[in-house]
Amino acid sequence: MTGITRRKFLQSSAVGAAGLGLMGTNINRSLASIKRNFSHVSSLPRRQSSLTVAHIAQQMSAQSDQRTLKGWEDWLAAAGLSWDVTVSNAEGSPETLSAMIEDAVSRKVDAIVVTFGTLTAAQGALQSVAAAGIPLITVDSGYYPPALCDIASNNYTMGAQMTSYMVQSLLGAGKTEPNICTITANFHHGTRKRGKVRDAVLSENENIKVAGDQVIQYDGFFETTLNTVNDWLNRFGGEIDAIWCPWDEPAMAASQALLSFGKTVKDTIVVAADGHPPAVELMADADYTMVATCAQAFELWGALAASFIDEIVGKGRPAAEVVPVPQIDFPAPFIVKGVNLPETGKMPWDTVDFYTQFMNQAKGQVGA
Amino acid sequence: MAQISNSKSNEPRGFDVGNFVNRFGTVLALIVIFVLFSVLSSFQGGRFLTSQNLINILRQVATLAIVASGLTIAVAAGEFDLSVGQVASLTGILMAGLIVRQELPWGVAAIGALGTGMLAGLITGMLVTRFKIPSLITTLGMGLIAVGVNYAYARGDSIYGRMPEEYTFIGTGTIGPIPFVVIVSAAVVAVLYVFLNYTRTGRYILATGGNPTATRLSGININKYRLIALMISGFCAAMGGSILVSYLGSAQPSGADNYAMDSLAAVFIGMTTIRRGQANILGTIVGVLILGIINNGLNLVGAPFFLQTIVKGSVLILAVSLAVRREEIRFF
Repeated sequence: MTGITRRKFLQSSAVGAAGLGLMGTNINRSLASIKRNFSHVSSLPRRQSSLTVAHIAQQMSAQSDQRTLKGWEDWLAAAGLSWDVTVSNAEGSPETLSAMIEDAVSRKVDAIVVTFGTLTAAQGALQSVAAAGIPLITVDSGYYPPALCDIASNNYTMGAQMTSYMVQSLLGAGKTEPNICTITANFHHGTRKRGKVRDAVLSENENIKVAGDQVIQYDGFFETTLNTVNDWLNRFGGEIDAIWCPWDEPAMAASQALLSFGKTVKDTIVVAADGHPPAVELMADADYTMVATCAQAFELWGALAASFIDEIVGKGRPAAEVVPVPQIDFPAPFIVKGVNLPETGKMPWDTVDFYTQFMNQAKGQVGA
Repeated sequence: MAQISNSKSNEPRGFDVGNFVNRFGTVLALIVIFVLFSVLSSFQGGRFLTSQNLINILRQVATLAIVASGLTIAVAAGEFDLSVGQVASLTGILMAGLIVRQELPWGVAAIGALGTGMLAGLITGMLVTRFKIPSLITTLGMGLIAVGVNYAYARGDSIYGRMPEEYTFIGTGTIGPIPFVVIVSAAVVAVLYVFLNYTRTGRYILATGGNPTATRLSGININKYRLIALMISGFCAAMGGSILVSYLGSAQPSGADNYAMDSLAAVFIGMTTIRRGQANILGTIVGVLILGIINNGLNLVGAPFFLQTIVKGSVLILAVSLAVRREEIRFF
C-alpha cells in the first residue's frame, strides 16, 4: 500500500520550490527538472501490475459518469493492464457514496477513484481514506483532502463563457431587452457553480429579464425540463429569446419543446455545457435551437485518473512528481453552432475553441 | 397491505347536499384549483385558459394517467405497487435500447418492453399470493430489481438515437389539435374503467380489495384476482415507460422513477371521490388532473419552483385526511 497524502505531497512540493530558489543561476536546468518531474508518464518499470481499484460513481446514469468510465476502460485496454476494478454506483445519494468509499477502505483497495461525487457530505469517509493511506483521485467532485487531486474543467470559466456568449448573441441579434428563462441544477458542484456565475454575469446585464427559472433534480430531469419549457412557451406566448441550461441534456429537452412549438434558432437560442456527442450532433441541424456548449473531456479525465494510479501505485513514483496541482482543470473548448462544430468522428473536446480560432486567425494575420 | 374500507354507504337517498359535497368534494377541489389558476393567470395575460395550454396539460398528464390507472387496479385489489416508477424506467430503457442498439422494429421492441412489465407484475403477484409476502415489501424489492436490470442492460447510460416516426408519433404526434398521446391515454383509461366496473374479473378485483375474507368465502379465488391486478399494474407501468420515451425522444435510466409517488398520490386523492374509500379509475383521473394543473398553473403564474411539491403534498394530505376523518379510508 502506498501511503500518500495531500499533506505529504504539498510538503514535497514546498521542498522542491525551496530547492528551486536556492539553485538561482542554473534556472534552465531547474526548469528542465520541473518539466521532467511534472511529466506524469514515466518509463519506469511497474512494481505492481495487478491493482485492485474502486471506481465509485455518484450517478452512473449521467452521461458524464459514463464517458469518464469509458475513458478509464479504454486507457486500461490500451495499456494492456487487467486491474481488478470494482465499479459502484451511488445512484445520486451522497450517503451511499460515503458508504461505498468506506467499503473500499475496508476492502483495502490499492486506490480509489470517485467520479462526480458530493464529497462535502463524505467527510467521515474521507478521514477513513486518509487514515488508511489509500491514494484517492477524484473526478469533477471538487478538491477535498486527502484526495491527491481532482480532475475536471473549470466550472466558473464555463459558466462565464456560456452566459457571456448568450448575452452577446442576443445583443448581436438586436435584442436589447430580451426575455430569457433559466434551468438551474444545484445537486452537483459543477452545475451549481455555473449557475452562480450565470447570475453574476446577468447582474451586469440588467437589460436582460429572467422571466422564469426552474430548479431541477436529477430524477426525471428530461421530462421536467420539457414540460416546464412547454409551460413557459404558453405563459409568454412564445416570447422567449434564450434558455440557459446547466448541461446539455436539459438543453436537448428545452430545444425539443421549442421546436415542437414551432420555434427555431432564429427565435430562441439555448446554451449549455458538456459537449455530449448526441447534443453536438443535433446542433448541426440548421433549425436546432441549441447554439453553444463547452466540450468537457470526460474520457480524458478517466484516462488521466487511471494513468495517475498506474504511476503512483503501479510504478511507485511519489505523488508530488506525478500530480502537479490539487485541482487539474482541463480546457473545455467552447463550441458554437455553425462555426466550430467537430468534424464527423471527432470528439467535441478535440475541437479548436471558438475564441482560440479568432486568436489563431489573428496570429496568422500578424505572421506569428 | 393497506386495509381500505368503505365504511359508509356512498349512495345518496334523494338529493343530499352534504353527501354530494362529501362524494364530489375532490372534484369540486379540482374545479376550484382550475378556476383559481384561471383568475391568477388572467392578471398575467390569461395564458392558462387557452386551448393550447389546456391541451398542453392533457399531454403532460397523459403518461401519468396510464401508469396511475394501472396502479388503481392493484390498489382496488387491496395491493400496493411501489415499483411502477422503476418498472416504467426499465421498460423505457428497454424500448429505446431494443430500437436504437439492437435495431429491432419498434413493434417488437414494444412487445419486449410490455412483456417485461407484465413479467414484473407476474413475479410480484406470485410472491404476494404464493408466499404471502406483503405487496408493499415485494414491490419495494421489485423496484430495486428493476433498477438493477436497468443498469445491467444499459450500464446506467441514457439512450439517444433516431427512432421510427411511427413510434415517436405516439408521444409527439397530433390528430387535429389533439396530441395522439392524449387519445391513447384516454383509450387506455376507458378500457380500464370498463374492465374494472363492467366485467366479472373487474368486479371480483373490487370485491377482493373491498372484503377479501367475504370474497374468498363466496368461492372466489382472490389470489387469482390479486395476481391479475398486479400484472395489469406492471403492464400499464411498462406502457407508460414506453410512451414516455416516444414523448421525450430519448430514455434516461431514472426518467420515470418519480411516477411512483405521483401515481400513488393520484390514486389516494382519487379514493376520496366518486367511490369514496375505494380506488377507482375516475377518481384517479381527477387526482392526475389535480397534480397536472398544479404543476402547469404554478409554472404559468411564475410561482417559485418549490411550491409545486409543497402544494401537491398539501393537497394530498388534505384530501386523504378528510376522508380518513370521515372513516372512508382506513390504512393498516
